[in-house]
Amino acid sequence: MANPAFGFIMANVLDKGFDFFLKSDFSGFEDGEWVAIHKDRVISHGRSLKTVVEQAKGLVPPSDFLVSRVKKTASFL
Amino acid sequence: MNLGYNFKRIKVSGITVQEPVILSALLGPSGKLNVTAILDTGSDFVLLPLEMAELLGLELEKTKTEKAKTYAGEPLTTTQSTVKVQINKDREKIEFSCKCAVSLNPSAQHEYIIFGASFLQHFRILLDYPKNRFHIKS
Repeated sequence: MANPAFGFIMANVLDKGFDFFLKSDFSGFEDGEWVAIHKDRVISHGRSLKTVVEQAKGLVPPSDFLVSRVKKTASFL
Repeated sequence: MNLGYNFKRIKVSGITVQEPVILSALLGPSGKLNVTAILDTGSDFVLLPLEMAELLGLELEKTKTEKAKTYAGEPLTTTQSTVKVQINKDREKIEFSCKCAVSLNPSAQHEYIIFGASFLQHFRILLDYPKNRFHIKS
C-alpha cells in the first residue's frame, strides 16, 4: 500500500522548486530558455525541452523537478 | 477545494507585473512532467508547444490542423489533442482530462503553458491583484 506521507514529501520538494521559481528573476538565463528546477536551483537549461528534461532526469528523479520557460518580455496572449 | 497562490512577479520594461502562474503536472502516454502554467481567460484551450506534446507522447494528427490567432493577430497552426492535468497542493490532489491545442509553429515561443478555457471551466477563479493572491476553487 502506498504511503500517503511519501506523496506529501514529494509534493514538498516540488513546492520548494515552485517557490524558487516565484522568487527568481532568472537573471543568469536567456529569455525563452527552458529551465528545469529542483528545490532552490536550476539543474539544467537550454533551448531544447527534450535535452533539458533528459539532463534533469540524469540528476534527480522526474517527480522531483519542474520545467518552466524564462520570461523577460511582455506578453499579449 | 480552495487552492491559494501568490502571483509570479516579473519585471518587464522596468515595470513589475503579476502573473497567475501555477504548478501542475501534465500526463501523457510517455510520462508525466511537472510544469508551470499561466491561467489565461483569453485563450480557448490549453495550449502546448509541440515539443512538450511529443515528450508526453500525446496523440497528434499533424495533418489535421486548425488555424488560430494570437491576440496580436499572428497566425498559429494547431492540432487538437487531450492531456491529463494533475494539481497537487496542500494535501489536495485533483486530476482531469483537458482538450488542448498543440502549437505546430516552431517560432511560437509562449513562455508558459497556457491554461485557457478548457482548463478554467473546471473551476472558479478569484484574482486578487492588490493582495498578490489568487485562488482556484472547485
